[in-house]
Amino acid sequence: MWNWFHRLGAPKSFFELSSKLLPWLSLLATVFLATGAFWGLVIAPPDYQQGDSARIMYVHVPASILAQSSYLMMATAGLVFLVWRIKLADIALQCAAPIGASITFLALVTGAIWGKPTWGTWWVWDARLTSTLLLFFLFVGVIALRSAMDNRDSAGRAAAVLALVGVVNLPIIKYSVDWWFTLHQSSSFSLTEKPAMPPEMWLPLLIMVLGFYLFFFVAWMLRIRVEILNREIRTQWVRDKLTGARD
Amino acid sequence: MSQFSDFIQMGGHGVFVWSCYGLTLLILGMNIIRPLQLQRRLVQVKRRALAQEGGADAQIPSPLSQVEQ
Repeated sequence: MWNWFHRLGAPKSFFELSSKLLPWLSLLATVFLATGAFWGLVIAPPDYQQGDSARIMYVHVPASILAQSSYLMMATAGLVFLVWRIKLADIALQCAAPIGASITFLALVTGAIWGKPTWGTWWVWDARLTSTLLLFFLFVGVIALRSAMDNRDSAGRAAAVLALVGVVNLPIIKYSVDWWFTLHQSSSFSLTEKPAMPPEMWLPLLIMVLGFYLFFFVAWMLRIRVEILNREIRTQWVRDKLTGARD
Repeated sequence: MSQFSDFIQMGGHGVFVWSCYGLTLLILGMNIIRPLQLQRRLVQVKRRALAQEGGADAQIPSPLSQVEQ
């Protein structure tokens, strides 16, 4: 009985908590992204080798980082759903996939556009680029699997399993630049070492990365809220919201 | 003026840089607008369904009553 309440109650409490958080997160995301973009485009110096095309870094690197992180978050939601059968985790997985797919697409396209003036080619089939393309297809696969099956519960489980299996790809993306010969440079950033670039470049980059994460949480919450309304439409609290009744 | 056009051109890399930032704006924006659209549509459809169900518990919503944005 308690469990039943718990399951039914969790989406509602998420909905109410997100109502409070969203305005602040949206404001923060806007401030970070606007500051980072202006800093990266106008204030940061051009690269001594690449010139102004290095400014693409301030969107390409955050997009790539977020693409991988959002996959990890989606897979974590899948694990939570498989182990504890929490409905909200299934919703979270389902809602992370389209955002992750679009951000991975952004990382791939900005990478291609950066590659043209820097490497002289839009695309090479090396490990970093190919494994990132695979990440994109994993997101698309989760979306497709989710919508291909009629039974919501088995669709959720299948999507969660696929998401978990795909986690293998993440270390491949990360270490691809060290394991194989590639045009792609290795990471200029790590948690333990000093960045291999001056502060007037890594500061705006850091702000953009934080801005992308904030954006992801806003977009994720917005989608989860729609899906909660959709799934809980027969419950009283959603009806009360729809009819404008106050509780 | 020439300083501004220098900024737009970015030493010949302008096309690459601006298309990246434009695409970023487009994709981030779509990820925000799309769920808001979906939510509005869902609320409209379900409200109509609730009103048709009728009965004392389903009042016709006033246009001023606000659903969570």
